[in-house]
Amino acid sequence: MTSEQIISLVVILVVLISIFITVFLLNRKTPKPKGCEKLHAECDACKVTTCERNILGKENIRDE
Amino acid sequence: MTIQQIFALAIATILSSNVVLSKPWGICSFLGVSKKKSSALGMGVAVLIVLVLASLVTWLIYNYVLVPFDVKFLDIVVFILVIATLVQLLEMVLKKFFPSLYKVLGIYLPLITTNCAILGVALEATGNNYDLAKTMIYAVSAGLGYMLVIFIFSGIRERIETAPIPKPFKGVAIALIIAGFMAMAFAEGFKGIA
Repeated sequence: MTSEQIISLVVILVVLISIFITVFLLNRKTPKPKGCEKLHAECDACKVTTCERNILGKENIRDE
Repeated sequence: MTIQQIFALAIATILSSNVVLSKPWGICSFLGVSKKKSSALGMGVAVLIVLVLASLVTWLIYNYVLVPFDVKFLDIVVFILVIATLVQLLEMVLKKFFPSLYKVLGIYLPLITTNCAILGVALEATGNNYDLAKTMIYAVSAGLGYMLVIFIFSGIRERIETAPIPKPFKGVAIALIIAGFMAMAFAEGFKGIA
C-alpha cells in the first residue's frame, strides 16, 4: 500500500465518521412529532431478547 | 442500454433473481417484520426509498472518490457508513418536515441500517461496473422485489396464524418453510421470463 493510499484511506474514513456522528447527534436532538414518542417496530426474527425491538423478551418478562 | 435490456434487468431483479429469495439478502427484516400486511408494506416502502438513495450515493462515492484515490478495497466499510448516515439523515428529515410520513415509516428506518439488502445491492452494482442508470434501475427493481415478496409473505403468515399447524412448526419454523417454497416458486416459476 502506498503512502498516498494510506492518507486517502484515513481522510475518507475520518470525514465519513465525522459526518455520521454529526448526523447521528442532530437526529437525536430532533424531537419526535406528536403521537410518535412511543412508536417502535416489533420484531421476532431472532432470539436476542436484549434487543429493544425484540418482542420475545417482552413476552418473557410479562410471563414472569 | 436498450429498452429490452432495461426490462430484462428489472423483471429479473423483481422476480427470478429476487434479492430476498435468491441471494438471499435482508432475511432478518423479511422474517421479523412480516406478521402483519400493514407493517410489511411500511417496511417495503422504507426499504425501497433507502435502497434507491443509498445506491445513488454509494455509486457516486465509489466512482468519484474510491476509484480515483485507488482505495476500492474500502468499499464495504465506506458503504456501511454511508448507509448508516443516510438512514439517520432520512429519519431526521421525516421527523422535522414530514411527521405523518414518519408515523408510518419512521419505526422501520432503524431496522434498515442493518439490512444487508441495501449493502448487497450497492456492492453488486459497483462490483459489476454498472453505470448510474443501470444502478438506479437495479436499485428500484430490487426495492420493488423486496416489497412484493415481503407483502405476499405477510399475507400468507396472517392466514397461517389461524391454521391448525403442529406445535413444533409454529412461528418462525413454518415461516422458513413458506419462504423456501416461495424461493422455489420465484426462481423456477419465473425462470424463462428474463
